[in-house]
Amino acid sequence: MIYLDNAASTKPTQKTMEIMKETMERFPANPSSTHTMGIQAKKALNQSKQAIASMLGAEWRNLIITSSATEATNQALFGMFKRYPNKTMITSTVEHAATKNTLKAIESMGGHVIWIPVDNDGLILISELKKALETYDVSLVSLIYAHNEIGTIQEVNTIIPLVHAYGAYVHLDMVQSIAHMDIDFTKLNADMASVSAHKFHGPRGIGMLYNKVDDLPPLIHGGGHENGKRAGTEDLASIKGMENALHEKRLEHEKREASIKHTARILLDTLKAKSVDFILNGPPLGTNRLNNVLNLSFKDIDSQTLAFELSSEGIMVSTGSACSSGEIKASPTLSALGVDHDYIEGSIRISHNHETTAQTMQHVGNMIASIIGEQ
Amino acid sequence: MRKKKTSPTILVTKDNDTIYKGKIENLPFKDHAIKQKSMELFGDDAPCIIHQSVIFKHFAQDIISTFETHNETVLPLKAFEALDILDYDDDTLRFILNGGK
Repeated sequence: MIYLDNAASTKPTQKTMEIMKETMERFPANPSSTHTMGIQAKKALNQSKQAIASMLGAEWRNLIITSSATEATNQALFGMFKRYPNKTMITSTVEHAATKNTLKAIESMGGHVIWIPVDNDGLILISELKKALETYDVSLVSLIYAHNEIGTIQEVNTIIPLVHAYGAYVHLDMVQSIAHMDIDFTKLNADMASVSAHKFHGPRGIGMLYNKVDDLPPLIHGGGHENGKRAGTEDLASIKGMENALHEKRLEHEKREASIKHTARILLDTLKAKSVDFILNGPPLGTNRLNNVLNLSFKDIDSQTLAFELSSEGIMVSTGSACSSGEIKASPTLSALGVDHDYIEGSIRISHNHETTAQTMQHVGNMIASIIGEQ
Repeated sequence: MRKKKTSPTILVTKDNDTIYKGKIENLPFKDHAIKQKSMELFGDDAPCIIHQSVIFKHFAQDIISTFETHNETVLPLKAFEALDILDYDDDTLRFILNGGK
């Protein structure tokens, strides 16, 4: 099997799995218990959070461990709505469902949300953002930093100071960016960020909200875990797994990303050499994009059929299609980009990783060309 | 070299009338067959629309395989009886792969 759906989920590394197993064996007690075994678990938990924070240039008390980035995003957005119910929130038209549908829920509860359009590469129109900031009393701007479908990296170094100048907070969906970029929260200066471990070869079911906003209310109520910000007994094994995955990712960051970029180029070159009629959605390789999120649109092709054929050949890719009102529609993100009608129905996402070889990508390129009938 | 720019099509005729013309995966399929395939693939007897689309592609593949097994581009309904997926009951229907091209 050739797995090219790493933007959806990655396989935890062997060491991560071993550490998780070992943690479950070594620390069976509840970290909130005050007996010796509970204290040991609590210490291990705090040390793990401190290690994660250190790797990300963050204060460890600013990390709220969650079950997923979706939960983190829900807490960030609902929390801000609860604090500032009469203020406006701003987002883009190409957000992940975690942000988009949370903000739609907030709208249905009377919240006011402004949806900023993007250009053909998926970059938010900063002039429109500025207009909205000037027009409304804004509490929060929530954006996807690196896009899960098209790989576009937003110009956050321009956006964050702009938003702060208008007295608003910034929340970033950093699920893909943290997996493939060198992140330092202090330098980045976002106020909140959502992260998920299973995108960088950590376990599923664990994520975090980086949060610098005072008095952000909890989404999940109960005990006083996570400094009262997120109730529920901590999953120490998964937290340790996330820590290790992040550690390995940071150690190998440059090597991994160089390999990913190299093999991305090989796939595109193979398709070009076969005269396949396709477009790479989002910015070109080597610019402000992730190189492992290759959203390719093929002319006059049915993406569902192409993905099915590739799956039959042992190649796992994703289509960005969404289920909407009982029918399968083209990706809303690609629609927002204005992808040409002849191409949009033929869009697949290939998300490889650092272990994907050049030969594999050549094979995939050849197989796509073969399936769609190009030489 | 396979040529699959779009999904294979099928023409269903009765005498000289066209009953259906379009993608194989859009043929009418039996509810019980959809549920059964969904249980086999997903362990779910109420598939969502995206899972249904995958099931229909599997059915389309089965139908194409039947044409290939018979080495024919035109087959009667009876030829697909063993699949038990097509929601037709008129034995005089003829199924023509890719319009017979």
